[in-house]
Amino acid sequence: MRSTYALVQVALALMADRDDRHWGYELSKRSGVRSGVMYPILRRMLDEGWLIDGWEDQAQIGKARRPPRRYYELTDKGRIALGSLVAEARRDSRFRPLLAPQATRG
Amino acid sequence: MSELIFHVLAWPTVGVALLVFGFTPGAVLRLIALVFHRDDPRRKELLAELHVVPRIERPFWVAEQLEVALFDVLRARLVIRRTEQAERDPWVLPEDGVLDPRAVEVAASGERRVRLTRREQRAAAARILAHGGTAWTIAKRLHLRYSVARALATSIAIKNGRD
Repeated sequence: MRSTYALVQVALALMADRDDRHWGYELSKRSGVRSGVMYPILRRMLDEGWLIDGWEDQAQIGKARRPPRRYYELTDKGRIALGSLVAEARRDSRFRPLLAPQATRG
Repeated sequence: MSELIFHVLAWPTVGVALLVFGFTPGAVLRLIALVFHRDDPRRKELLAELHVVPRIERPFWVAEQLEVALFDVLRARLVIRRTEQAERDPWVLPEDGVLDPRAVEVAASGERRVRLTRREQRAAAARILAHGGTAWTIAKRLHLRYSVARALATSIAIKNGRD
């Protein structure tokens, strides 16, 4: 996948919590990428096998009257791929503004 | 100040607020979801995501989804549909009034559907018959009704018998 600003942003958001489930809206908020750009990226990641998706259990929803949401989880392959993508981005001057706050955050 | 509060809480204002932040986003989103293919999980995902979007943000979020649906999803679906339609449509070769041997060859092989002139159709049918085909083969490969194919086959046989 070609490294773009949006891809790196989504990768950073996913890698910030690499073992947890990610939800579309939260991921869009956290990465700062519009859903029109983010969902095609997620779809490509699913196709590459970097992510798996699923639907929330009814038990998780509890009493909230809403339909189950779709979640995304990083696979081992995805963790490796996104790890190297982020590492590459750190070396690339194009992504410096994006990665600078990350570096200061530790 | 109290007048301002009164105006803000006036029924029309409350009604508009309910419409904009309550009813409308959900209703519009349901329409937007229809743009996605029936099997696309995004259709279900969109409707579920709306429930976690804060009410104040919903109109803007739905507007964003509308943009995505119109310019990405609908456009992609139209392109796919057009491509599929083009594949189904007969292949029209340049028509110059003369018998096009390539068109005849392709049509007779049944490789693709080709729009033929009457002369080309006859030549293709003759070619099929020469290769051991029947009226049924002609009908199938040239996309003709069986009765037409049979009439064509008979006419070719009679002409060949005369020659």
